Amino acid sequence: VNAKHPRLGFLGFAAALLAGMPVHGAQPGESITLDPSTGNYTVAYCNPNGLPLPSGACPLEQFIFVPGTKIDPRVRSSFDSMGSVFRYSYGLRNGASSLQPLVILALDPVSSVVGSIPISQVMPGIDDQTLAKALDSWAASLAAPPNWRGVAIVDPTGSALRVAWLDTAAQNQTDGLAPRKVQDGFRLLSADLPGIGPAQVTGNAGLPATLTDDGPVGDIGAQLQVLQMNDFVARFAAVPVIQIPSPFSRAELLRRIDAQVGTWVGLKILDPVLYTQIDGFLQAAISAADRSDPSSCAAHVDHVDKLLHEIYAALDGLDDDPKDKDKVESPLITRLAARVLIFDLIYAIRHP
Amino acid sequence: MHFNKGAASVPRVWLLGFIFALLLSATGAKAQSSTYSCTYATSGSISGDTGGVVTVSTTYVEGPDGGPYPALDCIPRLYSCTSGNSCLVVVGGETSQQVLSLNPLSWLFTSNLVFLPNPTCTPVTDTFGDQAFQGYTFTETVPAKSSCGPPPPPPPPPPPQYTVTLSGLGTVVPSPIGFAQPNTLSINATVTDSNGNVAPGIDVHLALSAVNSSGGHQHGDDTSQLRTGTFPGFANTTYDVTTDATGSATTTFYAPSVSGTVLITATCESVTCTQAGPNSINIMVSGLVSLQSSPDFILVGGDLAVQAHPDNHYLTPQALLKAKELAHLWHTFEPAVPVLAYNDASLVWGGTFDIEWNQGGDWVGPHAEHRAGIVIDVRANGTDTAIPPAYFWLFNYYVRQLQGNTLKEGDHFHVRLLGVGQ
Repeated sequence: VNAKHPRLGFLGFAAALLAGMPVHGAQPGESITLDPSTGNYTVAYCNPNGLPLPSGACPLEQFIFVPGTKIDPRVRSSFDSMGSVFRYSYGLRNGASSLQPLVILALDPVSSVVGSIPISQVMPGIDDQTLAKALDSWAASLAAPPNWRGVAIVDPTGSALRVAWLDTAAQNQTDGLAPRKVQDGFRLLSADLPGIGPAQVTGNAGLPATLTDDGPVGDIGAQLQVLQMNDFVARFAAVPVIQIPSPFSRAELLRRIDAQVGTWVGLKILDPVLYTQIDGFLQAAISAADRSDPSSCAAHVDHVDKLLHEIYAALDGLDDDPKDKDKVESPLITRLAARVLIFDLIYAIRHP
Repeated sequence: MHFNKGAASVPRVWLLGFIFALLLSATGAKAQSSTYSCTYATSGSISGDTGGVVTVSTTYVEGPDGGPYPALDCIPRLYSCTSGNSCLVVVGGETSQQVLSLNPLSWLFTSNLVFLPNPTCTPVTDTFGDQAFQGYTFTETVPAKSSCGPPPPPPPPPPPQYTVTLSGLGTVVPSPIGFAQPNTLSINATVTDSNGNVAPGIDVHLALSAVNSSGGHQHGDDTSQLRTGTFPGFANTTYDVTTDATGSATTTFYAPSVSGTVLITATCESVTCTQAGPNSINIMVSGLVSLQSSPDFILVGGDLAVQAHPDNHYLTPQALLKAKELAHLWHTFEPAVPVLAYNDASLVWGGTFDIEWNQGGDWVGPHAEHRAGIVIDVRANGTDTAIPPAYFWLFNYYVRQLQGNTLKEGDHFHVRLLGVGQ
């Protein structure tokens, strides 16, 4: 299912590790086995509370873990300036080969959305009223299509948000965004410039298995949790990640943009040689900005713009879907990444 | 030897205490047909090294049958410089003829018996017309020990005193359940003598005991090794070690999966020793905090009928924040359904949450993931305060949105607030 995006197939990787393989440290008979015909995992585990068998072995129990990854989603992302904030819009399309409807679209991390409470204040120990105000204000900056709901919470790092849209109408396994269907209307407002981040999409896997207790423990339990924690299919999207310095500093903003671009090499959406070129121009632009030489700064940034337009003649389209037939992805940089970089640089140069 | 009114104090009091003990017991009865008694009191004290002065007074008490009384009744007598007891002073309480039989310390009266030559006394006449004496007071000057002849043999040395000190105690996380390796502490016992020198070759006996009601468990047999933890071997709650050349011995404490406070008592097998220093181990998940009630959720459970686990809503700060976020989002965006009813999370110190304690499940049992303060149960049992079945799917998605996940366990959702359960 993830053949087009093998680098994003966290779950596929985990599955390859786990399928049919004994789990280190597991008890005899414990296993997590992928059924290739269904895509489900059969989890056999030792019940630590069960009575030992006559052989002395612990009794095995079994359940089926149905992953929400039997999907081939597409995520479109666009962004535009609305004065002091940026509007991010997302579209979700469920691929024809998907076996499950889509029920969750999540962005994590998101550096901020417009809200009344800074993320840094939402930490363990926060009082209930402030927490409620933060959650409510963040949710108010999100828009969702009918039957979907957008919510935002602080992500596990404590320094960014996790934004998610949930299909609130799903009550059985056929509910959600069906294969071949498209759903637009997922939006958020943020004061931060875009970068590239993962959009996590989850298919409708039904309710979790009903167990008599808390399920497997020990190594087999830990391995199962790896599957559960990565139970999504990731796609790249434009997400707010670059905070604009306050007070504004062109040099500092360019540094932050450069730092963001530097992460793209690791994501394999930017060729390292091309990054070296871009980084050289950006470093020169930063130096010019530090010298308060705006014309020189703009000239160096313009080199980046020309470089990217040599790769993509037109970068103003909203659809970053790599399967779009009339838009071919360059191996040097993805179209989405190029659009994001140009948008960010234009903002940095044009900001008064 | 001479007698004077009054008394002088000298610094050493041990001798006076001895005199007191003798005097207070020195009452007696006449062998003849009358009964009487004498009581004594003293003041002053005597140093064996320098001598000193003591004043002794007596009080005559006539019995109900009256006299006759010999003239020396109730005259105190001092014995000094007795053999082997340098400068001990003993006051007898009877006539010379009867001292040996009436005084329990008669062994002291075998020599150096000294009669008082001129006691100050007041003659009295008893009911039969006999004259007796009532109320003697005399002062005795006791010579210094050096004048009493050869020094006595030195007293036997007191038994050696040792101190055993434990280290390595403190806090340890409850052991995992199942087949995982238990959490351990390396316990060191060091024995020193009264001079602070290390004492090799001392056998030290270690014993574990659990503090009742600790760790949030208001129930159960505290002597169980499942509660106390163990030493090496099979379910050993006691263990013997021998100090090495450095005066130390080390063993391993295997933490139970149950939280609580465990004491280690250290005793020495062949010598007398006193335990010093820390003696307790807290088996706990540190830093758990209590989930307090809120308009966004209700708190349920906790073995309310019997208070076996009265505090069942403890979570890590991070998990607690997630629980509040989940509850607030649910309350805000799903106003048509009840707020979440939060049941068991973890106990105050985490560890095994033995919900079946009253069904033979003390210190064991299910609830395997309720040990670390990162999961919580949410009611889904069809009652008015539960998540309605039609919302099970959505609730699951809300949890997923938090990057948590759920298990459906009979009548409740088991929510891993941080995505993991162990």
